[in-house]
Amino acid sequence: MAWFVGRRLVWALFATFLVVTLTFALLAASPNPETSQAAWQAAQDGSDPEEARALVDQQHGAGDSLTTQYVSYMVSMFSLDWGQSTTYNEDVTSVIANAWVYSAITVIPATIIAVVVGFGIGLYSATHQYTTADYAATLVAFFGVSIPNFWFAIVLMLVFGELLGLTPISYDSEVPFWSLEHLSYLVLPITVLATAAVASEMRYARAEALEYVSATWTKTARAKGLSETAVTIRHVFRPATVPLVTILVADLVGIIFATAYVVEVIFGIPGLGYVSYQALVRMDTPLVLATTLIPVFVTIVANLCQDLAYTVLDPRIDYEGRSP
Amino acid sequence: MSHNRFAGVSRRALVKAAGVAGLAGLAGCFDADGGRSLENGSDGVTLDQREIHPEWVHAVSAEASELSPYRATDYASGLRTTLLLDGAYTLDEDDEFYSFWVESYENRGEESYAFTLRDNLEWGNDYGQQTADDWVWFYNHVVTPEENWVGHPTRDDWSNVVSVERESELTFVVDLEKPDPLFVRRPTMWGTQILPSELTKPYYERWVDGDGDAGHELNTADEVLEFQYAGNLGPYTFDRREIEDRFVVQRNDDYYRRGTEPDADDWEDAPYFERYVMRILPEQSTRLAELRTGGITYTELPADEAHALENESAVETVTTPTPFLRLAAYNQRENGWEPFRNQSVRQAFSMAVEKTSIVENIFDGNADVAHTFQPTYSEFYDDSHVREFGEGESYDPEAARSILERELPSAYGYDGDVLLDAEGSQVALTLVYQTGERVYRDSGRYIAAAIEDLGVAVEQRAVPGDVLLERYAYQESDSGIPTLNAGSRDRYTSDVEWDIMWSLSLNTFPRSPENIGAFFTEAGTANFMGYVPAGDLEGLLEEAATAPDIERRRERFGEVFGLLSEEQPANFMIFDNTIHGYHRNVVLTEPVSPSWGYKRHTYWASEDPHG
Repeated sequence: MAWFVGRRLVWALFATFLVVTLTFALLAASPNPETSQAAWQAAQDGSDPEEARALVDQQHGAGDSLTTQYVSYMVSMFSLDWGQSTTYNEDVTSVIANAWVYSAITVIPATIIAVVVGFGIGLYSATHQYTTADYAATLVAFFGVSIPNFWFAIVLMLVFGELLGLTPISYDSEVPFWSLEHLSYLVLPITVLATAAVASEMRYARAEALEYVSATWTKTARAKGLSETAVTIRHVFRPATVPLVTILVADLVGIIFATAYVVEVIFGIPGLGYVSYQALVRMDTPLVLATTLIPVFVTIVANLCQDLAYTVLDPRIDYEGRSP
Repeated sequence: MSHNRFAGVSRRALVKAAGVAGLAGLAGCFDADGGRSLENGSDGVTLDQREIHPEWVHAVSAEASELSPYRATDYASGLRTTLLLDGAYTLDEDDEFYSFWVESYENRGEESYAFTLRDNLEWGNDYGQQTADDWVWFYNHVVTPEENWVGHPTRDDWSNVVSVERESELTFVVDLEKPDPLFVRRPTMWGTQILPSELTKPYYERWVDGDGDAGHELNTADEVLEFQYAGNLGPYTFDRREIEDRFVVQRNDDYYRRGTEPDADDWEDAPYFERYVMRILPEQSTRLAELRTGGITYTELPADEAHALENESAVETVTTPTPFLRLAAYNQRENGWEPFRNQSVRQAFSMAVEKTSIVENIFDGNADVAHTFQPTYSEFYDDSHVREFGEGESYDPEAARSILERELPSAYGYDGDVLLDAEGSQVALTLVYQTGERVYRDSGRYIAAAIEDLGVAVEQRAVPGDVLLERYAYQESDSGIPTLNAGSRDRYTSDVEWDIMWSLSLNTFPRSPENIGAFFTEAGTANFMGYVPAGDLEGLLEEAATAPDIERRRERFGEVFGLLSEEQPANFMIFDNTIHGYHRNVVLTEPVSPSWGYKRHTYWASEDPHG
């Protein structure tokens, strides 16, 4: 097991290195829109557009050769000295440290809701297939998967925030963190995030659980007199969790860095998704690399944890045989 | 409610006329000519109600990238820095000098100006009083060094200045290379913000000693980013900046401008809010919903949403003209449609697009029709010289077709309603415009349909703004650097072929129009469309720029803008308006003008907007 874990950690470092290198290459190959804008403005003013370009490049640390920049960024990344954001003139670590909290307060509750509610409804649907409740749950799932997040968020904001006045319209970071008022600011963002995630988890949970609802061992369990709840939890849900855990990590990263971005833009939440996007738009290389490195590393390590969790969830899985 | 209540300037006028010692229930609205008329307002706002309220909340769409005054020249950054630093002076609704740090100026001949600072300007962090020495040091060590060590993007604004000399503790003299009666209106001095010389000196000395990072370190020093040096030089003091969230400043208890002339009454206790919060709300729907529900005090409104908000009782809107012109440029370079080099063909295309319809139906009336590269409010606009295309009788697609039949090379011709080229195929043009705003797309489609009515097939391409510039406007110079005018139109072309480019917004510089040479002279730095004037535009511009008196200057510029309207290097489509949305309790203190906002820190609220 130790050998397996060690090998996977080394692979995690190598994969992270590859992804960060690729990201750097893509950034280096992309034109910087700020450079175009600065040169355009200078030309309009009758100033020297080339000097304007040079100033922006200098600000973005693009004055050095590509090799020098690459080595410098890589050393910074892996020594965890991520330097200064060229957009915000602040330490990258400080920018990320401030932003992640705002993502966490929406993503974590949304994920918990997605897992508990999604898996719960999925299991119920599977064990009550083709009933009215199953059809209703399927309808809800299709609604959640199909509805565009940005549209749903705006509609919720206009209906519950503006029309009914039940919730605040946009997020306010000055509200006391541990307060009911703060919760009122989070209801809509969490609802939007959770809707899609619940629907997704529910469909997976239903599909996986269906495989085991009529399995021989569940029939045996029922024949032995176990209650339906015990059968569902111990003999249907437990084997179904292995593939469900597999999709959980991908879903979580997807929520943080894709769906959360939409929610953060619409509700004005200064979270990591929005900051990462702005870093990309503004070609803020240190911040882009750092915000790339984090999800890549988190995903890889989470995948490792997920593989280890398999051994707990399903004792038939064993990595000992893979040792040299 | 589209009318607005005015206090400051209107009060000044009223007090003068009627001897009334306060503003009793004044409300203002705009007459058909864009002027302001006063009426006894039904809102019953009186000066007695002017008190200091807890906060002004301003919603913006984007974070600032720079907070050092030497680097902050973009709009988003300027919004923040002007809360803490007033700058030298500004221009009022009549484009006249309006005092901030500089109390007065004296024109000593046309090549010399003396500026005198107020005597109550104090830097923070024990840097002492702001004096003439700070400005002299700024000019000699930030503006003039051969290398732009501090990265000051607007150094070229000082290109006509040969020296800045101290005359006394508070007075410095700016000497010019060439006579310039409009120098005070140029961005050289107005709005300029500087740092204390004592703060900058150590960085400068490090740079002189060979430390190339000294400028960057100055611009990113905590002392600079936190405005610790700002003292009493702005209406607010820095509190904090939360990245991509908010910029918070607190009322400056020692603000130098309080109770001083001009408009001492308006500035009596300014600013009238304990703190100013600039919130970043990237999504337009969110900003508008917050404004409608009273969650914010102010935001800018999109042109196509403004009319809907005028009917909201919670919102006051103000529409102000801008000098920014949106044009449809005709590509006269080698990779454009060759007939666009013919002035008559360009005129025909311009008369086929009805601008009024775009303004009324797409911009919802929140823009103005343009006919030349100067707004009608400019003192250099002379309508007796300007030829109109695309409005009223000058919108004439039939006449346009006749002109095309007559002016296009003989190989071209109409087959029924279709315009055919030399190969017998329908003429097909590419219309490119930028993505991002619905009005660009809708106008693009409208322009395409209008051109298709001339029998021309139009391929529309919508691309992001930076792609529009990089791939369609810039050409690669001999040194490999992208530039907007790399040289001869027969040789230098953009990466991608195009024929008409819509949606770019250009500054027409109505206060000092000499800069327009960048777009419309053959070698102009921004002449991306490859226009070669038929008339002596360059000569006229030179005459206008060096005219010894303002009358001669007006005449010459009138001719310049007449020539441009005649030659139609581009279809001058519309002038943007800026639409401001305020909380209904806000009392505004200045008349509508292109200088809108120059007294924004004297705005107050009749009741707490967010109480």
